[in-house]
Amino acid sequence: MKHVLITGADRGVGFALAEVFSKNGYIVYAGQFMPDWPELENLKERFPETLHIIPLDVGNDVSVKEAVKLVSAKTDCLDILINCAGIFYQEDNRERFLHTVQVNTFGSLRTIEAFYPLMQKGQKRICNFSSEAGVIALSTRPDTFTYTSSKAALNMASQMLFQKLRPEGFTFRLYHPGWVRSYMSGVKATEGHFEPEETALVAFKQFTGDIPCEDVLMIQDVYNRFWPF
Amino acid sequence: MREIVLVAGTCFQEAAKTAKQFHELGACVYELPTAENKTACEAILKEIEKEGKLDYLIIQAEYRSESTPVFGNLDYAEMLQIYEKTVCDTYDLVEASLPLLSKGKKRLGLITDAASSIREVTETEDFGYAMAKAGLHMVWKVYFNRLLPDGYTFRCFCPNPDGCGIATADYMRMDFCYDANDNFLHSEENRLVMRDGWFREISW
Repeated sequence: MKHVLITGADRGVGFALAEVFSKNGYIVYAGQFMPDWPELENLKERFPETLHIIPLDVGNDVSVKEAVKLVSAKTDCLDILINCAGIFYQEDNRERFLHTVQVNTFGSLRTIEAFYPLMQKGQKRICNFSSEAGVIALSTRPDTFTYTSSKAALNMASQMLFQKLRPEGFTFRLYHPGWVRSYMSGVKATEGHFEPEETALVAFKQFTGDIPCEDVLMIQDVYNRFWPF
Repeated sequence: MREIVLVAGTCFQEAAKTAKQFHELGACVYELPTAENKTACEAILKEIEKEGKLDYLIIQAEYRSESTPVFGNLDYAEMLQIYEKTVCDTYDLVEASLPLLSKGKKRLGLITDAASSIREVTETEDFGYAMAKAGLHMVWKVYFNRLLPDGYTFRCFCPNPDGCGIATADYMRMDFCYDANDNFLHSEENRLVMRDGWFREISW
């Protein structure tokens, strides 16, 4: 059985991914940021042997290191790492710039760096949630500086990691989930094109399947179309 | 009428050189060593207020890690500082300068680095520098999206490391083909493009 870690698995797309990976027979380490949110506990009741809830705040060095210890106690091999945790602010200011990059960008890098030793023996697949919002070439947004810049920076981090780790056999997925009725801004959005379950199903196929060329890093969206940077 | 220019980041070599070039071209040049110092930013903008306008805001933010970053032992506190100095300080300075820019030529110029293109990056260790640069390029693009309808124009320039090719100040002053009613296929000002000193387009 393969082992997958999903950050931000409390709700929204992260939770939907935890569910779809569980249903497909994976051992799932579900990163939990909000212990009071009940959905993960309910999912654990459905998959008591294969789903492990791991307290995980990707914005915090200590929390990520603790999560590595907890996962390492259960396995010596992690196959797939999915960085799904993310936040969004509509308004821009310095504090929000820094909080957003800390979670959306450094959070992914921090988690990959920390779990890298555990991934050496596994499938070596790293999956990051990117966004059209981080595509500089095609951006049309006149606002949300904090979110868009955090996603552009994540794309850069992904490209650098790709160059560094691809020669070691790692493969990468950069996924744009579309406009999802998710919890990115704190409460479930009423507007959007997709439910979390819909985009999670496409993500599962991309994260576990093949792409035409593993030697070029590209963003792929919920319609399976490829994007530039 | 004399052009009024504010060059921020003159603690970096290229920005300092650019300030000198503008001065030699007859412009009235104000220099900020860094956008980090809020008091200095406010003071210089107060000075420029006396001119009644600002034609060019030119910024360079080129902060690299002081430590030697190694994957496996990355310093996230330092990376956050680099991001703050590169992205947040630039954002704040642009916001503060907009009232004066709106009365001038309305041109914003970023001095950047071809190696900080996501597609062309060769760096594999200094995550702090490269990620902040990508974030900054996106901030520039969002400003472009927001301000283009109000007549602002944007430059994103990567000077050649050997100093050959177009000088930065010359590039910042050049006007490109423009038709307000056309799309970017025939109107260079209607898209944001990063170019090097040989006028070659660099992918983002």
